[in-house]
Amino acid sequence: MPARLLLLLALLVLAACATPPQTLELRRAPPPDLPPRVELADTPFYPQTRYQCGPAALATVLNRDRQRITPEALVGQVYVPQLKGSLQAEMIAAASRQGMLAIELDGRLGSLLRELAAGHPVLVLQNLGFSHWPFWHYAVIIGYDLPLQRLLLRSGQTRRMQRSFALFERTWNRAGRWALVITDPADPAVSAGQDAFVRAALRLERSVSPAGATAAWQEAVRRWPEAWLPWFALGNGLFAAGDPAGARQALERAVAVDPQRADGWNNLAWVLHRLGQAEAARAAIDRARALRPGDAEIEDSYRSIVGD
Amino acid sequence: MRTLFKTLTAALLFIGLMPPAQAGMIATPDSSRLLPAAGMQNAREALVRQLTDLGVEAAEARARVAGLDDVQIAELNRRIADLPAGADAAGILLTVFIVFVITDVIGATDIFPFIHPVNTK
Repeated sequence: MPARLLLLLALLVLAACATPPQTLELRRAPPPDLPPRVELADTPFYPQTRYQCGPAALATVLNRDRQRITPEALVGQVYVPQLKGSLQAEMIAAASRQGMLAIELDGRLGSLLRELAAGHPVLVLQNLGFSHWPFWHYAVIIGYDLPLQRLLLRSGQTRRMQRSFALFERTWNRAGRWALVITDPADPAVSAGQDAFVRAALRLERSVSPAGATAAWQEAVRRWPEAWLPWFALGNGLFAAGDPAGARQALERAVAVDPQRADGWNNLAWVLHRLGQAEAARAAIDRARALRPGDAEIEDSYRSIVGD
Repeated sequence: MRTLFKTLTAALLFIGLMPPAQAGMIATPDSSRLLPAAGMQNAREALVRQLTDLGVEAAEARARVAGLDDVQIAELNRRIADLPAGADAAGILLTVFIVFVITDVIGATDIFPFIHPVNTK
């Protein structure tokens, strides 16, 4: 055999034998608070048809608790014929269209395990080939076995695929460690970072309505009570959903957390106005005007609330 | 006239029919918004065209683009042909088939579900 080919094979074998870093870390220090074994056996299975692991994987997570949409119906929402596959951004948008919250995870294997332990299957992108010769593929992780260092996946035509942490991590690393947890808005990913959570809730609002993400914002304010935006968004959502009293509470929290943001005072003024609290509304809109003098929207609010 | 308008507005708000934007409430700031809606219109239309060029049916393309935020639109416009598009290995050529069988066996790749790597660690 030519020397170069041997060298290439030797390098490949070395690459394959080297344990990827996160697997190594999990082997050294398995998280003590995680159950040793999880299998979300009631996750549905849709054997994929040619090129269409996107719709199949999406249907798997969207239909976890009840039948919402078939893989066939999802084809028109995510499949790109000439790319022979589905783009990640469109996978997120398709989930949002079903009123589900789709949060991108932080690239840590430990977070995947945490989601599984919380009952959330995880949709992942893998590169089953090489960086320069990629084979992109979506699969759904439905379980793990910590002592055996294995993951369980619904993948392609295989209902219950077992893969070592190491092999999975290699294919996942080459895909940018992308993972998506798609849930009911009232039950968001447990390992979500604040930015990813907010991005997901805004995308849900975009696809459904400001009121459609209210359950997600309620969870966000619970997790990050010192952040301004979730309170503000919750207030707007409750108002849109016809709950001005709830909106007032949320917006009062928003202005308490960050009194320097004029938007909060503006919207609080409107809610107070709607609740018939004219003096409080005026005080609030005055705060907004002081923070952003001359702003067209705020001046408009002032005129409407206080009268011209 | 203005009083009538204000009364009607208040009445509609009371029924909860008017969305916040019309009431003068400021919408939740979206940091993924790159430009005001009008500015993004061209970018959105460009992406609709790209998707239809790639074989997506026009009405579906418009609906799909409507569900994407500005940052996603910008990235797709820039790199749609290069971005990962999850599929499978169904189109693999025989000439590369053998290479990937070997690499699957040693666990460097994972193309074929039926091949389990020798080294499961």
